Amino acid sequence: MRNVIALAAALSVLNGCYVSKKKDDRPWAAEIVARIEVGKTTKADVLRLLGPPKQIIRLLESEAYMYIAPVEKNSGLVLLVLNLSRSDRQYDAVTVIINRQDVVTAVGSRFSADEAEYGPPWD
Amino acid sequence: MNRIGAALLAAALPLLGGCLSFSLEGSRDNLPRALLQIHKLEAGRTTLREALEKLGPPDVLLRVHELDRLYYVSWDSLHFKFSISAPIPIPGRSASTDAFILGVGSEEFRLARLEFDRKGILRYIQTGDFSSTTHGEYFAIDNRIVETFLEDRARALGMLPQDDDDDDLDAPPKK
Repeated sequence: MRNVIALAAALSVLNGCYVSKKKDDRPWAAEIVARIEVGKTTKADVLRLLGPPKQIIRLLESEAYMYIAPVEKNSGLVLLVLNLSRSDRQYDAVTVIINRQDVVTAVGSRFSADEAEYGPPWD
Repeated sequence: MNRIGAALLAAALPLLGGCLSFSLEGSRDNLPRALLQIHKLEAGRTTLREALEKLGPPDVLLRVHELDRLYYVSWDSLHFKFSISAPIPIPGRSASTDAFILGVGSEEFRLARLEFDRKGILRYIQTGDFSSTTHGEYFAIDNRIVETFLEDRARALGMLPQDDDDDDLDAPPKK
């Protein structure tokens, strides 16, 4: 009987529990980004390696190709009148600066999308 | 008597579930890792290439007058809210009212702004940690950096026209 009560109690608690993951675009392997060399790699090479960018920004003497792939993890628990929720959004991102001669002049990358976590709100 | 009271309370709790609510919401956007590397940059010497190698890709990037502006941001917040909502008895309509009883929380917003000239040399660095009060007001002595960031982000997302900055073409860059 106790087990049934415990199971019913657990079920009623878990009834309001959720986790979700939202992922944008495809991520790029770090090895692929490492192939981009400042002063050598061309715009065509960048497009071939990474595909079309999410955003192109015109700068003073160059343009920036912005590649962004966010991951958002949401988790929550609803216990009758108590709602606990947390969202964590982290990014894989690459920015490539290409000059007017279509050659890469700078590149920066970050791979932290995997660090998005589920957890309690205060984490 | 106590048993009856406890039983009534237990029975009432599920009924209150729809109109009484305590919520604790946590949110994190980006890690402040890049912001911890800012001290490695030097205005007048560091190039755009070096900045991207050290800090990684910026979160917002745009051209403003004669400068290329980069932002690195991270956001962490925790909010507690207690609210009550109740149905309004209007015949033929479904309506309810929400009474916001209590809301407390904290926000930490970290931001760095870098500006590069036409030659790709770093000209300005500005950093700030901004904590908000429970009323949503920033504890910054000068919160123009936050306001400028919000405007620049909207511009970068295409929500504001680029021409907006033309009003102060002759003005020095915002700090």
